[in-house]
Amino acid sequence: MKKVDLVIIGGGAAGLASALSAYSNGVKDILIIERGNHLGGILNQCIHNGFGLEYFKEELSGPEYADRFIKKIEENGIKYLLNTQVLGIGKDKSVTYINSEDGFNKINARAIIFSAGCNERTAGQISLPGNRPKGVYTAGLAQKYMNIDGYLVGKRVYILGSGDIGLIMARRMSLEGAKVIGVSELMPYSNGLNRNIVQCLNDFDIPLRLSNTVTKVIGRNNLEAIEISDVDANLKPIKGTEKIIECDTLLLSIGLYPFNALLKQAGCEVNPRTKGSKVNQNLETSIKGIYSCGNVLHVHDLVDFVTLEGEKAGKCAAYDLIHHHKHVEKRIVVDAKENLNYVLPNYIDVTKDLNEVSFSFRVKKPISKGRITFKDGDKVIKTITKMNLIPSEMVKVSLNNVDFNEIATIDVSVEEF
Amino acid sequence: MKEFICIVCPRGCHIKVDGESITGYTCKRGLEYVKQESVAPKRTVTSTVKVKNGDLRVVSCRTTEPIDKNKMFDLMNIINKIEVEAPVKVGDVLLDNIFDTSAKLIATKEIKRI
Amino acid sequence: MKDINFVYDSIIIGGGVIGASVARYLSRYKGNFLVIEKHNDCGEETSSRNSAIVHSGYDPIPGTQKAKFNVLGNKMMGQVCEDLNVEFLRIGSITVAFSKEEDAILLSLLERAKENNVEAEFLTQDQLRKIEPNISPLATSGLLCKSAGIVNPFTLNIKFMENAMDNGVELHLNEEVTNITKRVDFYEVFTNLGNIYRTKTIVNAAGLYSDKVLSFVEKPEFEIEPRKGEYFVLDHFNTSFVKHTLFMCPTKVGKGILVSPTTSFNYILGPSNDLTYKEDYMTNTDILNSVKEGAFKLIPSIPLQENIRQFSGIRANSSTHDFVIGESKINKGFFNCAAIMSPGLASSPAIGEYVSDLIKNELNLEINPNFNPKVRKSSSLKTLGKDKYNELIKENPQYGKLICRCERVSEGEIVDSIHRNCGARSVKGVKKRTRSGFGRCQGTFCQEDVVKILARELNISLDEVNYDDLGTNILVETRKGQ
Repeated sequence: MKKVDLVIIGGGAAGLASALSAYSNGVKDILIIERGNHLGGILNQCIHNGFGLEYFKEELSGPEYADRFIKKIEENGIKYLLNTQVLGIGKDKSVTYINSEDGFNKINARAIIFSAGCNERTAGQISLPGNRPKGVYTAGLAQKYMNIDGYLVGKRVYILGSGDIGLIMARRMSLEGAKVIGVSELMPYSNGLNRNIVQCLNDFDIPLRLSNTVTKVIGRNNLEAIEISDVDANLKPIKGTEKIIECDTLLLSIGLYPFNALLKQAGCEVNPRTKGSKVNQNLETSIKGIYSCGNVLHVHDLVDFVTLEGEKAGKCAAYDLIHHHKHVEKRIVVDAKENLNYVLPNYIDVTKDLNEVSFSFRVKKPISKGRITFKDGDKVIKTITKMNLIPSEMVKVSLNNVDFNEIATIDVSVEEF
Repeated sequence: MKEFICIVCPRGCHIKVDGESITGYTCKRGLEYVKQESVAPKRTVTSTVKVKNGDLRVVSCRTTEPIDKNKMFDLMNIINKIEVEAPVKVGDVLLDNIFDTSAKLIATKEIKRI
Repeated sequence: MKDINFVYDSIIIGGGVIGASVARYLSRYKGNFLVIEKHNDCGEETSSRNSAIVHSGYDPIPGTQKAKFNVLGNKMMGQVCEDLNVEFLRIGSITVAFSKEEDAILLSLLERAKENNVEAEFLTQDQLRKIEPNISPLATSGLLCKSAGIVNPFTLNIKFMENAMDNGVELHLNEEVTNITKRVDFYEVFTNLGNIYRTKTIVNAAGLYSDKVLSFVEKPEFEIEPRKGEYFVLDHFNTSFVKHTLFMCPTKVGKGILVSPTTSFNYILGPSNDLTYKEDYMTNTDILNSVKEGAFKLIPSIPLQENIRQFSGIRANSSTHDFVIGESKINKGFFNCAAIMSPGLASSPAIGEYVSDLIKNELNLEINPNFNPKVRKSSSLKTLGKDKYNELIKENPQYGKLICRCERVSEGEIVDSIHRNCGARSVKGVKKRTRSGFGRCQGTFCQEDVVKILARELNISLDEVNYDDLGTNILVETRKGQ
């Protein structure tokens, strides 16, 4: 069986960054496996601008952002397979894949970085009531048709969910000649970034209805209309608030979830909060030598952070491949408490020289003045204040100058003050 | 007094403009944005342009600088008439001097010829 | 185009599982047979919107058409599915009681099973828990029928038609029968396309509209009283929580909620049972909540978070509570396969065989010596071993390109599903044949690829590709370059 030092599954933003980082940290025998016919993943269809402000300090479109990494992959001669689907990952770090050239094939990796991205939630997952006619799409699928293939999916559009892809599509479809009638958001606050509300909705006079949802899809063969209703504090539709809106397209922008099935099947422990894998501070899963990063680990708000996380995974995998794993003295379990949806890492493997750990999390509800607290039991390790915390933004904070040997567990919470 | 949500970066700062007094911005770019936004708003436009003989039907594109917000649809009318021949390289200029400004429309994706 | 005076031996109205089965069994005989289907594909209504259960036949009242054809159809199903390359698993069904009264009902049903010649077995609470460990602790007993099974309802229907066409039957899609007139020696069948077809016999397999089709020639003695059933579909996952089809103990209202694995190792929960009108396929939150309750009653640990889709189907229930099968007493040569409600899917091969033989006898048809009961097998990742599949990829690299990653469907399988008799003409057609788009992502990843493959293989442009029926084009041209 063929052997490879590092197999990277998924050639999107996370995978490309991890490959380049592993390469520059000394691992040269790398294979990227990508299911699409192009490296870059979902960035290829995200033709809007706003990428790279953190990482490159300039504003790029998705394809340009991807192109910068792809060029370096080519320059360094890092190997990759396109149109190739991974079918299984073994505990022994074997990778089974299929493509037209090699057929079914199995290779043995010394380390694996899993960076397969995320999926969009569908109408089925939220049990959207009514019919199932043509005309109901996830925003990402409509985006692909529009930006890659050059077709619209409809002319009168309503959008359910204020996730960023939906907002971005509201602007794109408006510019391309469709009428975007409105956006309904179940929650009392937007799930998209503020800047997207301004430049994608406000600029085009598209109303955003908060605490409102689609309660009926109408139309036998083609979508003809939808019924929307206000919802109460328990998110249940309020009778008597129904409104019929005629449209030929309903876009769903109701959330993303990690496409983590392969790691789950391999036996990596799953984090029930994120649906991604549980990882330590080095992004290593419960199976030694398998790392996870990017949107398959937890859904990010910005691609720049995906890139940074990919780089970290690449660097950690390279270190472990070249120097072998450091001796772990103890494991600290990290838990998300009050007002947090989740926190990463799930545990800290304390080694002798460990002096800094960075954490990522999302809040459950908007908090204008937040006090972030790290606690070991009743003992406060650190508090940090942050303004304007919102569920659509990932928060990153670090713990440093802390003696991790003295800590038993870490609970992270945020409170309004 | 007028309040703006900054669109320069994803942070989305709430910036207040009251005559000469501007508060709430956290970076220089934010300050510049709100100065412009309160007088004559500008936006970067991203779209696609039709391609002949390419491996894709359309190539993605963007303006190199923001253009007047109220001219976005005028620009779309021009963009919709452009047709380019593959191959296309990232950065290829598809339209120069947009509305007599220094803004250009550039391709943001490589398109191979088939 | 056939000559205006051409007379078919039989025209079958409706390409659902019954019409397709009749067509397939008719093709055992020499003759000119035509199936007219109003949709862009076969099996677009009740035939593809049901529980996909091959009932054992213990339940129908002895002596009814339902009892007769169900028991017979169940027996035939194994061979039929082997010939037609359709997934069928005889997993058995258990009807579950939750009280002393229901225990007694199960015992009376055991007697009924004997009358219907169906093997059944009474299970005590302990026996029940042993074979279904996740069943509710409140369940008191069960009635096990080992002959019950599950089938892929989409391909059963399509393969009946494919096999019929392989053996010479014609299929007209997107054509709807608008009237029928009886002449001396033949019937004239009028359609919405302005065509008039002559035929010696007619098979009324129009499902929900079988009363309407019959009314073209006579006043029906029955009426279709459509009843809607709503379902949940759960994703397939590693651990199976139910091995048999579990039914609730039947009540006066009907069979109640069932929980069952499917042939693709998903799980199906449902159906509800409510009066409706014929085109109402909407799902409703309140009704689906009642389905949930029923499913929880059977299996309290049911993983509803794995829910990937809901759908509804409409039963063609008859006011007479039984199938209407056979030749009209008034109109010779007019054969009804009407009011086919549950257990219609299980009965379909038996009904097809029976009705085709009635026609054969009436017209004195000769045996078709070239009849081949088998369809050409499809090659898929699931059915071929690794080595054989690798050989296939060498021959045809399209089999190495995976299009649907949830259900692991290759480009080769999709292309094959288009270029067969009764081939896929739409995104939904591809889905029903290959399962591409049936998985967790519901086509968000593969639909674009499927649209491109359909356009390429059917030699049409992308914006001509339909999602389902004609006129359901997915894509619209932009203003670019115009």
